[in-house]
Amino acid sequence: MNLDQERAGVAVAACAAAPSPGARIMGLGAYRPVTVVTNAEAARHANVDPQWIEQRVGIRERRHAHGDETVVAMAAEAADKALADAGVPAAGVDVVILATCSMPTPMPNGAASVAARIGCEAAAAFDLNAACSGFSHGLAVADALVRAGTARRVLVVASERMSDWVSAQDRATGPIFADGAAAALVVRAEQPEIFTVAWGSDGHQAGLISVSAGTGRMEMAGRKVFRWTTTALLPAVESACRRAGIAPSELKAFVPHQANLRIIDALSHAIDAPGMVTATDVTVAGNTCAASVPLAFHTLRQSGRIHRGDPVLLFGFGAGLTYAAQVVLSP
Amino acid sequence: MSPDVNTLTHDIRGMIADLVQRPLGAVRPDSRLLEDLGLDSLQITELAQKIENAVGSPVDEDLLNAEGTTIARCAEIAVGS
Repeated sequence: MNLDQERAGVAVAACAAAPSPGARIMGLGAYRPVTVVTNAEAARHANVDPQWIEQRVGIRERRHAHGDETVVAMAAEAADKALADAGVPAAGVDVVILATCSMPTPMPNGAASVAARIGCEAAAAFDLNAACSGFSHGLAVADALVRAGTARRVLVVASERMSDWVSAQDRATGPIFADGAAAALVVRAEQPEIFTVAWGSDGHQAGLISVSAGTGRMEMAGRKVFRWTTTALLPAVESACRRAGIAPSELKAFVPHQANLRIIDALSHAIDAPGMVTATDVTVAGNTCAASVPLAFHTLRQSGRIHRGDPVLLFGFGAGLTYAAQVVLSP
Repeated sequence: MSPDVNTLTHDIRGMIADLVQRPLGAVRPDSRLLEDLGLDSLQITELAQKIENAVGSPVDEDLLNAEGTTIARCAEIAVGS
């Protein structure tokens, strides 16, 4: 125990001795809930044709969390796996960031509980709410903390239980939103492998995607959101590539928020990089909000279609409206 | 300068044939977007964006999305007549 701990009676998260020239993702982990919800079942609740769901949003199935699969529990599972992937013990984590917008209550935060569950009690822990762009925001914060020397290792976890906040009867949201968690461990690096984020917001359009204070259920203006994502967001893609010092055509992979397959296809088509793989995890995971980018990234890496060092564009966007894009080198 | 209605009608037929993946011959000027061609609301938005790129000005999506709107009517909406 150091002097600070003796005086305060609490553990204080460690920091690095000096700033770092860069940061990198060292490990990834994911947790997908046990229960698979087919289109047949989702369609029955929403009173639509099962084929209508796949044609409209490209989703074939999604996972719904039940019982003990809470936001915190799923986050802890994903975090444990990311640490195992990196080969780093939990005690070495200085900060836990939990990106979520679906905690059951506003207090306490989820991050501290995740830190306690996985065994890094001394870590600073806070939640971050940027909805579907939450993981990308968290990764940008983690990168900055590590580069500044404020932290040596940061766990960025995204976990969502959107099924608690949508009505299964609402055809605009019920068949689309789903549950899951994924995590990334960010550590120091001799060269930057997480490049400067291109991010922003448009609060004038806050009403397009929201949880109604009256009903407690999610509402979304699908057509307007579609138009925003397929037109207004492209400059962020170009900025993120420019800040990484590469042309969009040099990207090896594109991992956008898994909103729906038509948005993903439209963005991928607009980037038009010949050797680029585009993540389409939405087909089996639905839209898991903040968890969608790291879940899709994890799946893509597991598939062997991307390799260590490949430039990958991560791009979160959603309610707020908020957006954050950054190029990373694949771990 | 925006194209005339006839040219635009032809262009829109091509856009829609591409969207709904049907041969151009099956997409006629009097075909209705919703009823005959089965476009859904997101496809209407995609179409609106394509038309806007062609004419260089905003198109009222709600008019395109109205019942009974034909391809020829789309072109009229796009040029503001």
